[in-house]
Amino acid sequence: MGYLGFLLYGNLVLILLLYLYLYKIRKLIGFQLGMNISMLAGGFCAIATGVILIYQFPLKFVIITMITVVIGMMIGGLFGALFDYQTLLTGYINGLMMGIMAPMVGAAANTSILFLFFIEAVFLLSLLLVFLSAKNT
Amino acid sequence: MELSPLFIMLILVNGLMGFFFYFVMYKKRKLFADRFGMVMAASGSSIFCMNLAMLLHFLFPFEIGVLAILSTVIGGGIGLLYGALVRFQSLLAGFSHGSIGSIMGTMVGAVVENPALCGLPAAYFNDVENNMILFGLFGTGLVFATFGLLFYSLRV
Repeated sequence: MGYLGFLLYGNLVLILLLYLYLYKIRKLIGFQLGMNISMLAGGFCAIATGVILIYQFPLKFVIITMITVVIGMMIGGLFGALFDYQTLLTGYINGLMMGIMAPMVGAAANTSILFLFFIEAVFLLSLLLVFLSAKNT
Repeated sequence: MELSPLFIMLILVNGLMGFFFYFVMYKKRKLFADRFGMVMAASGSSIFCMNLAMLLHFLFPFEIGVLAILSTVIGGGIGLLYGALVRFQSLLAGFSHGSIGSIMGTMVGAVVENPALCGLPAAYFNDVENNMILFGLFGTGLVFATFGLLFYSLRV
């Protein structure tokens, strides 16, 4: 359980790579797809971050909820700011809601490793879906 | 330590902020497009109803079933009010996000007040009141940040 920080770091690097790719082709994406991209990226990044952080520090629930909310808000807002002001608002509010929810889910899962793998798989699948849908638009 | 005056004050501040938001948006409602109305109703009502339900649960922590029904009705009403400014599409978005937000707020309040629900360690029972104060202030800050972004969107 001591190496979960590397997993968080890998997630952030993947998110950064996806952001750079989307920044390059942002003129080709309409606002409907932009809204869905910002919701998906912000929400699932907030869930993965919250679950990993609450596994790592189970004694600091309040501060981890605040950090997760801020990370979800920032990532949803950044992905939405590629397109429009209203996609920024959509990504912001979705990342905020998912970020409040995520440490609770992680604490209720009782540090089971299987749940962490499942969350990581869902996160990677959502990133892959975002990449494919942005490529084929 | 007696905490209910703090929560009553926070509920009053939030209510004033929500009323002011509704008033400003009511004056500007002819300017909205469909899409902005939907985004405005969804984001405003969800965070506002979540914070309101959380503070209500901190204030009356006894009957969680009755309180959940009450706060869901309040949240759905607020979502309907915000959504009814523009069109029926935004009314649906506001209603769904308002009720989801208030159900989630009741859940957050219950977990903060009774940490054994989520299997959190027993060290939390020492500073439940501290956590309640922190969560109330943090939720109010989130409401202010969201409404600030929404007011700023009127002049973008």
